[in-house]
Order: sequence, then structure tokens, then C-alpha cells
Amino acid sequence: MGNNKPKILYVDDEIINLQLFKATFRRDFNITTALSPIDALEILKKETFQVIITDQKMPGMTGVEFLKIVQGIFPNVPPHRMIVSGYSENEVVQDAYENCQLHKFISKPWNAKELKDAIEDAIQSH
Amino acid sequence: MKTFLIIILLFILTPISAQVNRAEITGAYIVNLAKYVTWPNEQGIDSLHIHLIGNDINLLSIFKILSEETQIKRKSIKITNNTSAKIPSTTNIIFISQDYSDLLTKVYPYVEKSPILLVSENYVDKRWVMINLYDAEKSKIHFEINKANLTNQNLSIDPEILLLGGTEIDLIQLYRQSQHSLNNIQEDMNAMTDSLKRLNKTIKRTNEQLNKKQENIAQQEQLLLNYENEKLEEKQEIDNLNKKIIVINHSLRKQKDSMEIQSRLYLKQQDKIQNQYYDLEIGKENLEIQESNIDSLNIKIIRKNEILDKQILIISRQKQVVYLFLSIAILMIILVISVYRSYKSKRKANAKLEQQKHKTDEVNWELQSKNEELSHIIEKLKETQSQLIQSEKMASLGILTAGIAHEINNPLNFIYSGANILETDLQDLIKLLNTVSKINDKTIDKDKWAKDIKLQISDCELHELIEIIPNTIKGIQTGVERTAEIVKGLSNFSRIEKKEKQIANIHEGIDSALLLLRNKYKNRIEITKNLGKIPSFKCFPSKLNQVFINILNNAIDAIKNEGEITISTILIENSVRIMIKDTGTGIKKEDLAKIFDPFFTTKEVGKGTGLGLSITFGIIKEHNGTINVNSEIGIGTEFTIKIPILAN
Repeated sequence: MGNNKPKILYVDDEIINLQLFKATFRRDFNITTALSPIDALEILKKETFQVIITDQKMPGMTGVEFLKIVQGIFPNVPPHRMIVSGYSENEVVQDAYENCQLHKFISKPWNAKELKDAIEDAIQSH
Repeated sequence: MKTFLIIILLFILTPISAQVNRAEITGAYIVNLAKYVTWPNEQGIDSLHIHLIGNDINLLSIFKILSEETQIKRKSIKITNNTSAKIPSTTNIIFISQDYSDLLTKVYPYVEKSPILLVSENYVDKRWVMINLYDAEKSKIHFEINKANLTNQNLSIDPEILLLGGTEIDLIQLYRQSQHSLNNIQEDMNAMTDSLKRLNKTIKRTNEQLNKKQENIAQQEQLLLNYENEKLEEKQEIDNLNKKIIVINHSLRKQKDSMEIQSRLYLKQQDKIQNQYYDLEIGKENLEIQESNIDSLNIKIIRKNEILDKQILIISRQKQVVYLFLSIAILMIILVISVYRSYKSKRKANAKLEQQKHKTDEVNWELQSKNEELSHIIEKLKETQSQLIQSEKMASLGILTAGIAHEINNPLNFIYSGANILETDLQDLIKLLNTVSKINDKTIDKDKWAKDIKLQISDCELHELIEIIPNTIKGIQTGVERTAEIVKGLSNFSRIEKKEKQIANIHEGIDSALLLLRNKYKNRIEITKNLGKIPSFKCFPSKLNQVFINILNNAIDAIKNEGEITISTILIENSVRIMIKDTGTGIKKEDLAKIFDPFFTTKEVGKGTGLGLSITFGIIKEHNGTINVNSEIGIGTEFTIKIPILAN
């Protein structure tokens, strides 16, 4: 079941956000979650995803820093990259658009429909 | 044939009578010695090359004759000659005559590199000898061989050579000799070292004496300096005295001048008196004339005599009156002069006093205006300070904004998307319940109904739903709690301060500061709280919150990666102590004195206002408290705040 659903990796340091994301989109996507960018990079060694969504403010490594590493591993899309964050400076987001092929930045609290549309838009964009 | 003759000559003509004979014998020796020597390269050469170092014409001519008439080992003989250490490259034999023995040590290094036989004459140091011709007793010439040196040259020598009248040099003897000379040198050196040591000692002693003398000199110099100082002082005293004398002289001169003026006045008065005196005298004379007239007219004027006597009496009385009048006049003049003088000086003093008064008034006026200016400036400063405090508060709020936005948006996300999930899941559940509620409907096909239920259960993944719903509700609750907490913290921080102190609990302030800063330290810095029993007390709570935010924010910034912050509070004798300690980078010693200065910051431009700690200092002072800091580079920083609380 769900083998034909798009595979999505979601990274956030708030476990509640991970649970909620999974609960919200479990019908639409095949979701894997990671509590830190380090965990996410471990997962990326074994699996491939259509979309990677990350929080920006995380201890140890920011979302953009994480996406830069992803860019090094996967120079091309997919995986598509998205940031979902409660707060971020404009320059940082701009940097991500220019250097990490960021597809979209979405503010928290997220609107489920908007986020779903953005993910689907990303998947169809290639 | 001649060579044979010469050999016989060697043994027969023992006493040498002339230089020619000696040269002939030397030449014969060298040619014959050469025959007993084998050169490693002699197969490849046509002639034997003999090189003479010396200027003995007889020897040279003998060699010329030999080279023309004789052969050695069937090779012709080639002769060259000079008086320097330059050796022709084809040389096989070198002869150094006694006069040029000095060159032997210079020639030797060249000879050592090639197979050359070196023949010396009367050479003393046997170590350098290959074959040495020497004058023996009874004017005979003998030769001696140092075989070791010949072997070193790769030259082999026939032992029969000794039959020509030679001896071998005793190598052991040579070694002993050199050893002995070495020992002698060693002894000499030891003796020299001893004497050097002795010299060193005497130098040391001399140095010590010199030092002592230098010390003496220094002492004497000090004494001299003292003496000079004393002299200078004396001179200064003398100068002072001189100045005083000059001043005294000056005043004396002034007094003299005034005395002169007075004496001149006196003289004038005297003149006047004298003039009057003259007048009186003239009157006297007139009187006398009248007297004489009276005498002459005595008889005629007997009657008038009495009247005249009376007149005389009157005149004498008048005289007395005149004298009296004169003395009174003098006294009056003196009095007038002194009165005039005192009046003049009084007037001067009055004028001065007035001037001073005027000046004082001016200064007073200036002071007053300056005072006014100052109080104006102080008022302005106070205004600016309060503005600064407000703007610093806003700036630190600005710095916190990023964190606060993140902190609020995350729990809001819990609520927002949680509600969304519940809505969707509820729809699925209602749909399922609707189907289930048809259990009593007898018109439907029970098998299809059961299939429908099964399909819907798997569609909405019911087992997951049952897990998701409580989790989502928990998430929403957490979101609400966290949002409420942050809002409370923010309002704590930014509430408008009343002018009067309020009763508040500092632990609440610490908690709200930590809440606002959570995003900066979470998962990175461990916060430990050792909070004592602190009663609520009268203070300016939002100002104290600002203090906690400032110090905690600095502590968090000082910890680059992971670390610890310990917050302790304790009440000691009506004084609250708050200690905030971090394991950060620490403050440089030279910066410690400046951290409470306004605008001092070590943070990057835009990261700090440089006002935080200076305002903190001001706030603690407003509470009659103290703030101290201890810091060590690489270990951390600890701030200690003490605030006295009234015992109510």
C-alpha cells in the first residue's frame, strides 16, 4: 500500500511537528521523518525521495546548511527542496533559492492545503 | 761506467773536502737510490724525471752531466729545477736541498697524491721523511729511509738499498718522540690553564675590588649630590633673602623719599618762620628806635612815659601771642598733612575694595548662569538616559524577535495543523459511524454493509486514526500552553513600569527571561536552577527582567557550542543574591573594567548595543544593590547581583 505515493522526507527538531506532518499528509504521501539534519543525511544514504522538506532553525545545523549538503550529494532535482519555518531572515532564504535550488519557502504555521499544493507542484515541476 | 766510478767514490772518498765533491756524492746517491725503488707506473714512461728544489749550482751541473751520461733502469734522466713548491706533473723524484727544507711540508701534500719519491737533506722531523741524506760523523754522508712513507706512496723498495749505507728510521722511536712532544704540549697547556685560572681569580678579585670602588664612588657621588642639593637649597635661601633685602631696600628708599619730602616741607616752614622772625626783628628795631626816640624825648615825653610803658607791655604781650600763634600754625600744618595722607590712603583702599566687590559680583553672576546651564544639561542627560534605556529595551527585544517568532510560530503550528487533522479525521470517522449506524436498517444487505465497513476502516486506516487523534490533541494542548507562556513572558518583559515599586517575585522574571531566550539555547546549553526561598519584594519587576535577559543573553552568546548555565538564588540577611554562571569563553582581563561602560561591546556590529550591562548596572543601583563579575578566559563568567530587601 502506498507504493505509488510520492516519497517525502521531512526534517524538524520538534517531534510534535513531525507527528502532525505525518498525520496531516499520510493519505497523500509516503512520509519519512527525521529529528535532525544528521539523521536525515543518514536516511538519504539508503533511500531516495521526490521532495525534502526542512525546518530552518535547528540546533547544530540550519535548514539552508543542510540543503547545501543535499545539493552536494544530489546536484539535480529531484529531490525537490522546500523550507518550512517559523522565522527566517530574507537573505538566508534568498541564498537558498540561488544556491540550493530551493523550490519554495513556507511559513509556519502552515496551511495544509497550501503546503500540499506546493509539494505536488514541486513533484510535477521537473 | 762513470756511475760505477762514482759509487766507488762514495765509499772511498770519505772525507769531503770541497762542495763539488759533496754535490757529486749527493747526485750519485740519488741516481743509485732510484735504482732500488720501483714506481707503480714506471712501465709506461720513457724517462725518469728528477726535480731539484734548491739553488746549488754545483749539484745542478752534476745532475746535468748525469742526465746526459747515465740511464736509470734503461730510462733516460730528465732534470728540472726551481726554488718554490711548484712541482712539474711528470716528476718521479724530488730532491729538496737543505737550504729549502722549509718547503718540504708544503710540497708533501702534492707528493702524497702521486707516486713520487721525495729525497730530503738533513731534515730533522723524521715523520715527513721518505729518504733523507744526512751528514754523519767524520764528514761522511749517510741516508735514512722511512719505509712507512714510501709504502704510503705505493713505492716499493729493494731492501738491498741499505747496502748503499743507509739505515731505517725506527718508527716506534718516532711515535714515542711525537708522543713525548704531545705530552710536553699537554703539560704546557695544563700549566697555561692553571695560570689562566689563576689569572681569572685575580681578575675576579680585581673586579670585586673595582665593584667595591664603584660602590664607594657611587656613595661619594650620592654624598656630592646631597651636598649639591644642600648648596642649592642654601643658594635658594640666599636668593630669597636677597629678594627680601631688595624689597626692604625698596621700601626703605620709599621711606627715604617720603622723609626727604617731609624734610623739604620742614625746610620751607623753617624759611617761613625765619621770615616772620625777620619781620619781628624789624619790628623790634623799630621799637628800639622808638625807644631811643623816647629816651631822647624822655624829658619831653615824661608824661607820655607811662603810656609808652604800657605800649611796651602790650608789644611784648603781642610778641608772645605771635610766638604762640606761630607754634599753633606749625602744629596745624602737620596735622593737616597727616590727615590728608590718611584720607588719601583710605580712599585708595576704598576704591580697591569696591573693585573687588565688583569682581566678586561678576564671578557670582557667572557661577549662577553656569549652574543654571549645568542643571539644564543634567535634565537633558536624564531625559536622554531614559530614552536610551527604552531604546536598549527595544533593541534587545529586536534581537529576540527572531527567536520569539520561531518560538510562537511552532506551537501555533501545533494548534493550527492539529485542528486541521482533527477536522479531516472526524469527517472519516463520521462517515464510518454513518455506515455503522445502519446496523438496524433491515432494508440493506448485511454482507455488503459489513464489506463497506471493512473497506472504510482500511480506507481511513482506523488503527492509525486511534493513535493519531490523542496525539494530535496533546500537540494542540502543548501548543496552547507554550503560546500562552511566551505571551506572558513577553508582557512581563515589556509591561509599562509604574513609578512606584511593586511587589514581585524574581523567579518569575528569571523564568520569563529563559522562555524568551529558549530558542537561543535549547538542545545546546543545559540550564541548571538552584533557586532558594526568596520572598516577593518591592522592586521594579520589568527592569529586573531586563537585567536577567541581558545577563542570560550574554551568557548564551559566550557559549559557542555546548555548555552549561547555572542560575542560583539565595537570601542572606535581608539581601537577595542572584548568581548567573556560564561555561563560556570568558572576558579578557583588560575588558573586565570596561564591561559596564556604555557602548562597550565585543559583539559584532548589529549584534549588541553596548548598552545592556551599563543599563543593568544602573537598574541594580536603582535597587540599592551591587553587581560583581568574575571571569576567566576559557573557563567562564559569573555575575553576582545583591539586592537588599526591606524586612516587611
